[in-house]
Amino acid sequence: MLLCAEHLHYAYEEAGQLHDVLRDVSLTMQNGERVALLGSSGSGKSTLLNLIGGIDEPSHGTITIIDKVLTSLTEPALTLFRRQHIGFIYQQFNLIPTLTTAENILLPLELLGLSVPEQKQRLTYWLEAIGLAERGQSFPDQLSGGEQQRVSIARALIHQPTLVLADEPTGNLDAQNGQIVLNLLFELAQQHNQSLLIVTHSKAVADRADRTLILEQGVLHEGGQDITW
Amino acid sequence: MVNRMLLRSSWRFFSRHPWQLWLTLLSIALGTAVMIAVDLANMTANQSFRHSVTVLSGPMTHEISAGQAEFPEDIYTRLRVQWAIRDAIPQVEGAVSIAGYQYTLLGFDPLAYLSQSETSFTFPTDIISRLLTEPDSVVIPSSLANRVNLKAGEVLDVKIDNRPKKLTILAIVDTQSDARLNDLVLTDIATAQSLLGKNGYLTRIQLVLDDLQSAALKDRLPADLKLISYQNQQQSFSQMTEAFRINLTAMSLLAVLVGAFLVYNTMTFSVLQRRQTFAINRMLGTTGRQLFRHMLLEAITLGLIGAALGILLGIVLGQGLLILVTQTISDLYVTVSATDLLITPWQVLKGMGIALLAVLAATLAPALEASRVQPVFVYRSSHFEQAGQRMSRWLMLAGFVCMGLSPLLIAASARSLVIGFIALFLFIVGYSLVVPALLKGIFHWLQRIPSYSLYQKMTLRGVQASLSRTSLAIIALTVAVSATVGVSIMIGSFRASVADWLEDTLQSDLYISATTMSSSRIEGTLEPEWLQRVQTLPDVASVSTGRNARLEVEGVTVPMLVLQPGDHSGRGFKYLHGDRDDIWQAFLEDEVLLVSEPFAYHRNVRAGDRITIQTGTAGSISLKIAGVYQDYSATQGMVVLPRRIYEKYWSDRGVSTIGLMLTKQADVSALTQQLKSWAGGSSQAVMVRSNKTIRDFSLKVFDRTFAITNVLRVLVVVVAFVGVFSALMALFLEKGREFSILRASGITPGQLQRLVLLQSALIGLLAGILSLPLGWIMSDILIEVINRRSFGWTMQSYFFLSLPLQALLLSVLAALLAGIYPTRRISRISLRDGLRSL
Repeated sequence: MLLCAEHLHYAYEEAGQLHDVLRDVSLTMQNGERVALLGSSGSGKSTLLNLIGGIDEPSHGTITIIDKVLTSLTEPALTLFRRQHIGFIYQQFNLIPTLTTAENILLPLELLGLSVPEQKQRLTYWLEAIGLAERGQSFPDQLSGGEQQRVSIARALIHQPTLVLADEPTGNLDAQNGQIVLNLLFELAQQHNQSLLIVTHSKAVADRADRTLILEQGVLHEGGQDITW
Repeated sequence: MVNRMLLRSSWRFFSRHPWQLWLTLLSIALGTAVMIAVDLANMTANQSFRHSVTVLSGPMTHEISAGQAEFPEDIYTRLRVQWAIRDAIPQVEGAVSIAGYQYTLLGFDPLAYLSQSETSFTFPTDIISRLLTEPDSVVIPSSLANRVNLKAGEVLDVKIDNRPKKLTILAIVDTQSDARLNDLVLTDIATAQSLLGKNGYLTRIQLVLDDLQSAALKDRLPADLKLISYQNQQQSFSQMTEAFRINLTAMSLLAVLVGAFLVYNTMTFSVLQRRQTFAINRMLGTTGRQLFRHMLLEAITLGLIGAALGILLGIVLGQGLLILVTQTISDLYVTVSATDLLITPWQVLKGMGIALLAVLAATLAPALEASRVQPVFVYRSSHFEQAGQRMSRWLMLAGFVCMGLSPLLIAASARSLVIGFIALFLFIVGYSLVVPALLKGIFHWLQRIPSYSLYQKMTLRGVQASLSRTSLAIIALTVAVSATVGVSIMIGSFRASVADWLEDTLQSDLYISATTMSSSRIEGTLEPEWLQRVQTLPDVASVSTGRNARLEVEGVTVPMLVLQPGDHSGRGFKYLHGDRDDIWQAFLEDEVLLVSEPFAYHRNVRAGDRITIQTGTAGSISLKIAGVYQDYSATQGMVVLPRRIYEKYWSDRGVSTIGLMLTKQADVSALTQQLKSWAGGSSQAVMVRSNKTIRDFSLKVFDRTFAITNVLRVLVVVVAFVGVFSALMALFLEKGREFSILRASGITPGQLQRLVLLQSALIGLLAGILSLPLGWIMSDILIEVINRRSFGWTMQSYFFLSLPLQALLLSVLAALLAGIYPTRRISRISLRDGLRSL
């Protein structure tokens, strides 16, 4: 098993009152599995993604990824874990504006301390794979939204993480670009046997996943064929 | 009309960015504080002198004095008995230290006081009589009594010439009703003479004279005594210290300039941050003019609050600067003492006005930018950066024009100090305008170096991408560090020149001088037997004498040294032009005089010219200038007259100083001991000093006179430091989102901190590098233009190898220090919150 989250609770305090975001959420994921996480706005999808990515801590419950209990790791250990095992894709792309396409993609490898020849080799492959071989020296603001998201996919996958977390990756793209990005994401993740947890509102995305989960008012349900869109 | 919604929006913007608000206010406050502190200290020193003249003069119109020195009291008897001048009060005065503060101990003759119909201060008769009968008793001002927490009848601990003394407080004068007495400790003249070691000597005699009496008395007085009109004294003090005051004001205005850069920086940044808000406002119907007015209103509000804080801070700072200002004026010109800062509404309003003008000027460009925001910018974010890029070309052009105008202005203005400063400021502003283009060039060049790691690229590009926010902070730091470089080179060069000059000038091994040295000049008279005594000493190779007096040259009084040269004296002068031997030969044989460089500069004369001087016995005579010599002792200039000429045209035969050149085998310490034992037995105060002691003392005085410059220099760096801090806070907090992505990607907090600190260091390094050429040129203008026009001095420019390194270190350290807090803030940014804002 790749991921095992058990009895996750997450609450925040506002004006002296506790607001529950996640209530007793448990889920598991297998290696190479692709899971779509659905839910209305404010249902806690992004919070759950942040907890699994080690960006935030649950109020209660444990998260175990490849035998590491994230909730018991120190901040530096958590950072190292994220660096090695997690890839993030965001709705807003979030490329570093001061780095070129190539440098943005190389960032995780640089952090992992890979040798320059190895970095170059992987970069060439990934630039080809996302169809931006000619745009390696372009800066993010010189790319279209679809191109930027392709770069962020390459950045999320290049260091071969076990788990890729994608938060509405097509939310900021038009239908055509969204389709291109989605194809790329699913194909590349499958090629490299990477597990994918993808937050989405899109039926098309959910249809391509192995499994669908639905988060409603902080409670997680296993989805089936009866989801209404 | 004021748009209330815009006002609310501004208020909320600053409430949500409190650090930005406080740093803007701090920039304004610090600039205002430095300016107002210097202004208040200058004015207080000036007023203190006027006030001391008024306190001492009261209804009196003139005084007789021997410059900074004392004179024998028998002249008082001659005044009253031989010349029948009854309205005369003798006084003795000296410095006294009480609880770390300097006061003036003023001894007056109570009997003469009682005989006057009008006097400068009022005391009950019983106090006057007790002053006469009770030894070591004094009357002190109430401000002092409060400071030391003592009452009448108690003992006051004082230090005179560093020796502790105990005085009894006879009475306390209420200085609330008579603030003129604030700095005075009053006593009987005999007590003062004894305490100050001035038995038989007076500092001044105050007189009430009409024009006829004053003309008659002028002719009767010996040459070493001067009759001074109080009215003229106040005017000449203002003229004498004008250059010094202008120099300080200019330095304080530099702090305002640096502060204005920072206000410009923060206002521009706040417009950048609110561009979407402004665009939405425009979309909803707000006009560009309304936005412009709104920005100015915002600036006026911030300016008023900042300036008010600055005035409070300036008053505190001014109290500290006052000590340094009065010390420097006392060292360079005449003794002034002031302990409490004078604050007038005019000074406060002036400071407020200048601060507001600077803030408004600094806000003009950002306000214009805000007014040009188009509704479509809701969807575009890069407009300002692009506008900034376009503007940098125009700024560079304007900068080159300013820099080009600066030397033209210097050349065209001949001797005007104020225009010299305007030219200096024009050059600084011009260079500042070129800095953004220079930075662009530097980054373009740095990009071409291929072998950077990704980490280094992120450091470099992080700073490069934010130049629109950071370049102003870099300019502010560049100007501040270059001021440090420029002033350091100037002071260093000046000090080295003075040290060389002292080495040349002090040719004798030992000097015997009359009276203590209360200023940079000695103007007492040695008892005649000293000259006979020193002739009897063994191992004296040559003896020279000097008489310090005052000379009236074309209506203006200047210091004069009457020199009876020894065999060694010729080497003591370094001439600006001409052959040394020829000039010295003329000095020994012809009817000539030597003038100092400042004298030649201020009066526009040169070697070979003739000047008219007022002699003691022969009226006006015209003498040829044999040579112009280098001199740093008198800012207003001085002349050196051969003794034989002096004796021909003056009746005075006194000697102020004797210089002894010893043979090689002389036992210097034994001779010094012998002279000191003679001095100890003398009825007057006599100093015996080696040339090394005088040199060391002179350099100590030199360092003291520049203490205030150093303090102001530090303050300018502090203002710039606040600017860098503010820019880094703005920059790094704006990058919170970018840093969160990096953290999510696996960068550790430590790595992120290092990245941010590296960026801070890079900003400091760039400012340090850019400050070097500006500092170098600034030092040149300071040495060649400002110093020359202020004092008439020329000096060799010295380059100190350690200086560039120090400048770089200062700049990088300032930026790193400024980066520490933002770095800590960044490392504490919650990853969740950072990513939530995505």
